[in-house]
Amino acid sequence: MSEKPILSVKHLKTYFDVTKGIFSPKQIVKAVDDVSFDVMPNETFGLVGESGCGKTTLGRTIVKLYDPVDGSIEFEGQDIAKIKGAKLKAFRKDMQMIFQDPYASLNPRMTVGEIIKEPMIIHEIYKTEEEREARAVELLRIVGLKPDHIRRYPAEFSGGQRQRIGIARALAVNPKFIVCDEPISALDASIQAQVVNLLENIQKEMNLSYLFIAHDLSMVKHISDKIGVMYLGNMVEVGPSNDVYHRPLHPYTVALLSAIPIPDPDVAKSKSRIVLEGEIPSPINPPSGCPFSTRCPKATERCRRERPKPIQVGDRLVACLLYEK
Amino acid sequence: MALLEVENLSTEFFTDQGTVKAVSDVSFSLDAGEALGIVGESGSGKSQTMYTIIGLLAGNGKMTEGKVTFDGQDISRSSFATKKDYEEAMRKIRGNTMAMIFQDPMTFLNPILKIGDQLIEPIMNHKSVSRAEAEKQALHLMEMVGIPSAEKRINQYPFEFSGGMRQRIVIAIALANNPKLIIADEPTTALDVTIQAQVLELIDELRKESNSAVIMITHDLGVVAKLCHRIAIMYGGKIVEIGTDKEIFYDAKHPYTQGLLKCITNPEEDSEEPLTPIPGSPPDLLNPPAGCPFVDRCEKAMRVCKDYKPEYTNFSSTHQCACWLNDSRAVKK
Repeated sequence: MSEKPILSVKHLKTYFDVTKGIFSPKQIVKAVDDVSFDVMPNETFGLVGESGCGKTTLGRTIVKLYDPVDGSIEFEGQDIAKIKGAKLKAFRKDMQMIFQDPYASLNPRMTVGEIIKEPMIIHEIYKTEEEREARAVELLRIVGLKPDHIRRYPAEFSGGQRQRIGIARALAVNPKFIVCDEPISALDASIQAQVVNLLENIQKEMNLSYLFIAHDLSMVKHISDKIGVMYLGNMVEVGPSNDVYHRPLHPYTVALLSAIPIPDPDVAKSKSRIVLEGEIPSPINPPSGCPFSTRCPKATERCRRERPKPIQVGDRLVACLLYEK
Repeated sequence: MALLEVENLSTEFFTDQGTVKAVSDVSFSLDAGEALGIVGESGSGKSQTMYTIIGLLAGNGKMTEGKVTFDGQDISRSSFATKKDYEEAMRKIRGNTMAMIFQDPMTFLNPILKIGDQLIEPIMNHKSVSRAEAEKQALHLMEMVGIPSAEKRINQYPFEFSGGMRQRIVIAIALANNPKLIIADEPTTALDVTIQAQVLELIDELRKESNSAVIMITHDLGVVAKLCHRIAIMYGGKIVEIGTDKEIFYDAKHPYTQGLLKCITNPEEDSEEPLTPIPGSPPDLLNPPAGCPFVDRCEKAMRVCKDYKPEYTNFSSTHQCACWLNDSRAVKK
């Protein structure tokens, strides 16, 4: 693995100012707070965490829907954290996004063909309408829809089919990298498997890299090569997916994994859970020290004072004082 | 005698586009202390079956056939002379001996009423107790479902509670009168996994303590594997297979159940194999297929499946499956 990463995120911070009035004290949500990780070409990086942990904000910052306050996002060696204008447009061609809600992410007044062709028009990929039309038909075939679907409207499709349309739109500009933000959580189990298989097939055919954001850990483990676990804006653990699942190091990863319901009655009924006390603290007033220290069963006095830095343990990165040498 | 006995229940909705056969010919029974999981995809009729039983069907919905016996009493709409009699009888049962936990704790609670008032209401509706006594019971319920500093929080409004805490309140309201049957409609779908674990554990503990029966409606096979003794698989408005947890997970007979088990991943196993999805999408219940609802997506479909509804085959006293493959009368290809 001497390859260079296609995406390298370093010390990324995305904050939101949520101060309520001009005389109120300043309130900042640290949605993403000093996050670093790499994604290799043709790799799927799974990002997991509970609602409010900042995984969607991180994904949206990487595709530049939000501006980071600090840190760098290197895409193919170029720092895109601060690019604007024509450069940003050129970058958008290489990185696309698939959204969570297949009902909200397609314009109901545009036909499927118009939806898929729009990015081609914006990025001026084809000169004539005939070429665009031909490409749109081909994309529909790739995602498993029929050519005559091109004149229909999103309302005529089911959730799984709509997600396929969203995937076709993302593929329209021949991207190298796709951020998938919970692409399957709104779908039924039998349809989820269809979409996951589709994503895996087009990854192989088109040499894509994915950032796959989800809270369904079993599906993330299936699709990802590497997993990053987020908690309260922090990346607490990163490593190869099977490894992280079977030998979690960070106490939060341990608790999160033990909470997954296993679809096997003998295992599920005998498995003991580490039930975490309480809930995720507010990101406006995160705990001092380690963000997990308020719920961690192994927290010490030092954890409440000192914020842990990521430590290399084998091929894993863990932000926990327990693993300090 | 079983606590709940559902026989040949059918429910239809009358819409502008035509009649939707949401539930057709569903039968099952449930004993006290038992947990039954009802698994199915959206539109499979799992929620509508429960709404029919508890009498909360939307205005255009109607139970067209069947019989529901709960705690020795026939509570089917047809056993009451007028709609008013039926509504009155159901109001006495609902929130009392039969309670429901709804999916979305954000919309279930009334945003302009204090948590305490919402807890006290079902207690005072069904028991002749003073408000002070009801308040005492409400506090006890909040403690039971694990809400810290209940004395303070009883005077707060729903928006001051997080999603997991709201779901605990919804559970506390359902438990207010020690129900014999708790129907939980996707109680954890809106919650994160660690919070889901807390809530599921709570429901399981309460079931064991009070020996009440639980019906868990869900699409998550992991949840039923953890919590349920028996599982019913619904598809296209019908129960296609029902059995104990082990019979369903380790010895599934219906091609849909088998397919469903193949398209989920078990994270305990490190398989690099691609998933095996079920092709196609669920049937349109406006025009349901004449035969088996699964026929269009089934890879083992035979000629008979298209035109004739399969009957149940018994594999054990607990395990039934409606599929022509297991019927000796069907001509095999």
